[in-house]
Amino acid sequence: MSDPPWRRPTAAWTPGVPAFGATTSTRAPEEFRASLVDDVSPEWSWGGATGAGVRVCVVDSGVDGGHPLVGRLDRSVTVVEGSDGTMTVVDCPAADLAGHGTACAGVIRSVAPEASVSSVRVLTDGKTGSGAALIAGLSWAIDEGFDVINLSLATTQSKLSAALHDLVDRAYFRRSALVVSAHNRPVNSYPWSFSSVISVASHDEADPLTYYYNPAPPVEFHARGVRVPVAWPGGGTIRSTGNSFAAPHIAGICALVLSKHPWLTPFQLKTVLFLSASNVAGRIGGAHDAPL
Amino acid sequence: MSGPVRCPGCQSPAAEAARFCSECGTPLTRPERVSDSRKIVTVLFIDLVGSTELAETLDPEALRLTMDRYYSACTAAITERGGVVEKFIGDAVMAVFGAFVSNRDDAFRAVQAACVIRDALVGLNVDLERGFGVRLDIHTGIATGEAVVVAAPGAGARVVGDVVHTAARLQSNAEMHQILVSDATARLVAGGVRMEAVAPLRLKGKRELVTAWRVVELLDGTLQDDLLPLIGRDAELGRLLATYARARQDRRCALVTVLGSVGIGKSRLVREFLAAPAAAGAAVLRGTCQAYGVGLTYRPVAEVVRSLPGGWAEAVSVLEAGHPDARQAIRALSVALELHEEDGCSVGVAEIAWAFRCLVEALGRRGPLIVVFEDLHWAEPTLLSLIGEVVGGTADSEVLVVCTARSETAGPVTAWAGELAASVTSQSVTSQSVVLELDPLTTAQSRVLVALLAEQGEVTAQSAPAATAVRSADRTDEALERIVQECDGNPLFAELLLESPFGDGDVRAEGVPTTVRVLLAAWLDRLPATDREVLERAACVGGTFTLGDVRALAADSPSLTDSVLEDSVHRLDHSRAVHRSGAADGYRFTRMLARDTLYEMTSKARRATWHTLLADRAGERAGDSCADLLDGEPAHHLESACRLLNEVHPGDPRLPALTARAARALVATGYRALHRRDLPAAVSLLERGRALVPAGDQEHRTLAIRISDAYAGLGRWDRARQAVDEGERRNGGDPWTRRTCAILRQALALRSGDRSGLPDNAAPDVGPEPRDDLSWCRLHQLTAFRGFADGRIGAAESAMREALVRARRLGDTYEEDRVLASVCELTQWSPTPLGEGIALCDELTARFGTDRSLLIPILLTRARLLALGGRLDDAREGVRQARGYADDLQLTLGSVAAEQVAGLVESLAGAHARAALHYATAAARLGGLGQLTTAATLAVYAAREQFHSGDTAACTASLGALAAVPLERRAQLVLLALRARLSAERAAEDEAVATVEEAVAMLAHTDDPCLTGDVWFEVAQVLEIVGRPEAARRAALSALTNFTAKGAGLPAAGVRSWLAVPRGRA
Repeated sequence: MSDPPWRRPTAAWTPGVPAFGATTSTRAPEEFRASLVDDVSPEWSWGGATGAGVRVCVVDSGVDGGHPLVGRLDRSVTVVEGSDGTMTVVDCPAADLAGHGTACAGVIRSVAPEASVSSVRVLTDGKTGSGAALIAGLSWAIDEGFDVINLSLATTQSKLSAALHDLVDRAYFRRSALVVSAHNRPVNSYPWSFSSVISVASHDEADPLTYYYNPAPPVEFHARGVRVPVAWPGGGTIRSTGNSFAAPHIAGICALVLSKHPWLTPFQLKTVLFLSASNVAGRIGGAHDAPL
Repeated sequence: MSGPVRCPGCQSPAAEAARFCSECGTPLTRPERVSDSRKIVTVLFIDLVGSTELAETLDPEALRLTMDRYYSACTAAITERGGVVEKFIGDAVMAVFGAFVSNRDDAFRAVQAACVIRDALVGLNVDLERGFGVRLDIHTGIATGEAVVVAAPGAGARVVGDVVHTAARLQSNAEMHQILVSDATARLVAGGVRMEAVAPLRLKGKRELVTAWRVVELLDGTLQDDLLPLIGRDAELGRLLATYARARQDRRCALVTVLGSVGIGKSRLVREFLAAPAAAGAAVLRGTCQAYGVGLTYRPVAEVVRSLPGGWAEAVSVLEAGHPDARQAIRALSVALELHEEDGCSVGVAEIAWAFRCLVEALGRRGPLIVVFEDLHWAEPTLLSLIGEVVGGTADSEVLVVCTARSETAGPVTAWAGELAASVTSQSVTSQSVVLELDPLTTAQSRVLVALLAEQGEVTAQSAPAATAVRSADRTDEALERIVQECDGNPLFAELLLESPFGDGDVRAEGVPTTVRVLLAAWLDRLPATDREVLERAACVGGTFTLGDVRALAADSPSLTDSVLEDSVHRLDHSRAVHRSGAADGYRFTRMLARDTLYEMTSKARRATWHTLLADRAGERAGDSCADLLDGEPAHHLESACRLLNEVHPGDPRLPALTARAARALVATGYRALHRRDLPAAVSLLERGRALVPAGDQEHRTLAIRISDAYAGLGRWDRARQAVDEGERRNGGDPWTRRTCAILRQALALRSGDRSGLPDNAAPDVGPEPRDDLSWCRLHQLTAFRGFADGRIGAAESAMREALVRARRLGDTYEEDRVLASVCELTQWSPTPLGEGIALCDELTARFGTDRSLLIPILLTRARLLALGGRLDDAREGVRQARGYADDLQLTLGSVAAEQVAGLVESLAGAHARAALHYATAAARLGGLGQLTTAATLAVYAAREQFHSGDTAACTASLGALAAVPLERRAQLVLLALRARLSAERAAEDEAVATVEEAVAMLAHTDDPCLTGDVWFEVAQVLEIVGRPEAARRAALSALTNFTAKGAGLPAAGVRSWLAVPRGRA
């Protein structure tokens, strides 16, 4: 009982949808101690920001560029497997057969309306895909130098772990902020569990800008992920649940922050996210911390 | 539809007694009975775009010719795939798949028909454009769902249900050449059709947006990738491989027949076998029997021949190269393949069988050959004897024939496989025939499978599967475990239950998913009518049923005589649809999903009647005094009858009386569950009962009390408060109810430590009306709780005894038992002497008899009192017994309480480290249940025991980690005494003395003799350390007085021996 949350043995479950006991509207967030930097507040972080000038990439099932909630895509590419098994990235129409990537892009756009959004299709088989395609697509996005990369997917294949680890560290040093959703189930999985990414699970509240720092990692943040209204290919919206939709909320917030403070490094960005989280920022209550 | 009988194929009128259409030869289906069963059908609507312009442009005769070609293209495409053209509406065609007999692929065949028609129009349009300069364009809608199919003899089907409207609306929303399918259809055809989402549609007459999909193309069905390893079929695979090895070694044809229910993994086993290294290099030919279509008998044979890499040409060359009578064989086969019209001299079935055997033999001499016939339950007898001929007669070649068939419908195949085995064995000793029956997977195997299914792709999107969204409060793991339990060991069902082909997370309707129901409906529709009637009644009884139950429901069907019924059940037992279970004439459904499907597909009106009959029957039996056994049964049946009747005949005159009965039964069953301390069941039953009790009924007051008690027992304080609000809402006109509810809210606030939601002026200063015994009873209980929390235990006990008087006056055993148990528990801490307390325990033990849930607190109270009196072993035995009861009954609070008393007993025994452990465990478990106040008290006790065991560091750490909640008086006192000891040990004498003074001042607020004794004794020891021996001695004497008054011999002895030690220079 005397250990702080981050020193406790890792819980048997992964924090995730409320099913996993994440911060929910019926349970108060856990108390923890924090060292604060008074200057940083939600207002400082993203007040008045639109995401303009920030390039976000959705690495997913493709994005329907014709959807009114997504709008024009900057670029749309897909991973293609050659006959010899090599993966290449080629331009493709802005379409999405599975609906998952469109949903994520719509969430990002709803938070950061003026950010540029691009899509890399790596889930080539509906909502699943191969590890090779993921690595190829993610490498491309990092090499292209996107400011924020949203990854609402995970793998349980430990053979992919080393390659993914190298990639996400590469993103970290090249200043691409990788926002990754935690796995929905309590299984060993990647790359959300690596410390150089910004990992996100769900809470069940309805406000898109409310997110919490999780004092008992590995997952670092909880954002809206339950019955989220998301864009559906072909137009319209449906409600969906999953950590998949929590990550793009944080990706959108990252775009907002970076559009206001473009020279933040990924480690600075994570600190800003921490200080502006709903369960951290409220402690300051200074005059500069006016409600948005 | 009435009028003359029409052919379902060409729509020509047919003679009354004809069995085949005189125009096109299609068999005329004549449903045997007018059925009102619910069915899952797929409805197809096709309409022309711009038909008015067409009519304007074309000459009427040309128009008729054009339309005739269009209609016959449609009719052919539909009937060849087992659909029925229900009607032509203007230029539109409406067809139904699965109207009379369901097939698992009805939806797929409807989509297939739509695609074929669309493609056929391309050819037709070439001619039309050339001839008339016009073209036909269509748009199509397809929907799948439940419907009632009314079948008047010979007059086709009338399909009634929302599905018809949905299909029609989808069609009118489809753009030119588009085929739009409903979400349900899309799920059913997902593996075979490539589709794209379209924006959700707002359809006329529909409140909600409708998800729809656009058909892109049909997929090649043979491309099946098995991503998961085969689970639980090692033995069967081994036998397949061994049989194949024997066939090769002996150069004799062998037969393996794989039997099993739909989805159990027959085809998968065969694929695994074919992919095995041992089978590599073999030529594999395959044919599948179909339930519909034309040219049925030899179609599988034709498929086998055509699956040769070189097709028919290769078959010809192989025969010519290796057979003396090649020409005759080729001619016979070409007739079977319909390559060749019979010319005068006909070719008999024996000839074709011989020819096919020649081909197989010749191929088998070239190299190893495996011939696979799938779905043999659809096979014509002619085909079965052909396969028999091949297996028995093929000589000197390496051939294995593998057949698959469904066991539920494979009666003839099973018999055939048996006979064949016998005949093959008699013909040649070396040939062999093996039958492999695939059983359901074990639960462990299902668990492995479901875990693998849930994690199929290397990389997966992290949106929640549909299965989790069903009840979003569940953890995904629990949802998966539910699938393990629900899938009946059937891999396909597991996959379908888990599957969410497209829709993310939108809530799946409760009940069996359509994809699974379609599979089971296909089986149900092929059962003999009697068996189905029997099963429908059995399903209404539940998962388990007795012959007697079914017999009682058979009164409305004169044909179901006792002997017919028994024969039917034996047949079903034999085919493993049901199996014996429990009582002498008891049975159980082998697949619960089949039971659920049957239930959902039986007419609601009939279900309502049957449920009422079952309730009456159970009620009568309960009259025969075995009420406990049947607990809940009549309530469940009455509730279901009510709900179903309300859905189909909301104005039925029987409904009010039925509702009242259902409400009474549910509430009574709920009270019994509460008495048993089966809290989750009690809550569910009582809430369901409450929904049926009319507003303004006095029962709502009692319901509010008991539902909130049950939720409080579960630690669900929010729900407990809601139950009170709900009771007040439903009976707020009654002042007594309002009074009781106000008292309940106070009690909940006190017990949960959460005063939110309480009005500031809610304190019940004004007492209830004198005659309102229930409110008084609860008010006294509230007073007792307050006294207890304040440390005034004697006052609490008196209040509880007053509550007892009121409870007795009410004649309410529930309240009386509850209050008696509280009085008894209070004697642990109140000034009531130990002997009296033990006597009360003994009295209550006799009263509660065998009711173990009520006995637990009594046993624990007794154990505590015994320990105080020095009978430690008896106390330990009592704790052990109570803990055993709590574990058996899974009563969490009971086992926590046992843990706490164990702590006390060990503390009195001087085993402080062990005591600390008990208290800490109890504190952690209570904290987990949200009872933070009591948890904090126990945490303080744990810290005190750590101190007494000598571990000052652990004690300090525990105190540092105390939760920030207001402490109970007892905890405050113990904490003060402990702090004083710690200060004294640190030689912080002033601090120690100040703390001691604070503790002593607070003692005035409690009348708990043992607590007072404990604190005085600690005070004595602190004073001793700080060098005030005389004061210490006085304190110890105070402790002694308190212990002695209670009769607590053991702690009193401890104080006496401390006093006896000469210390200082007194």
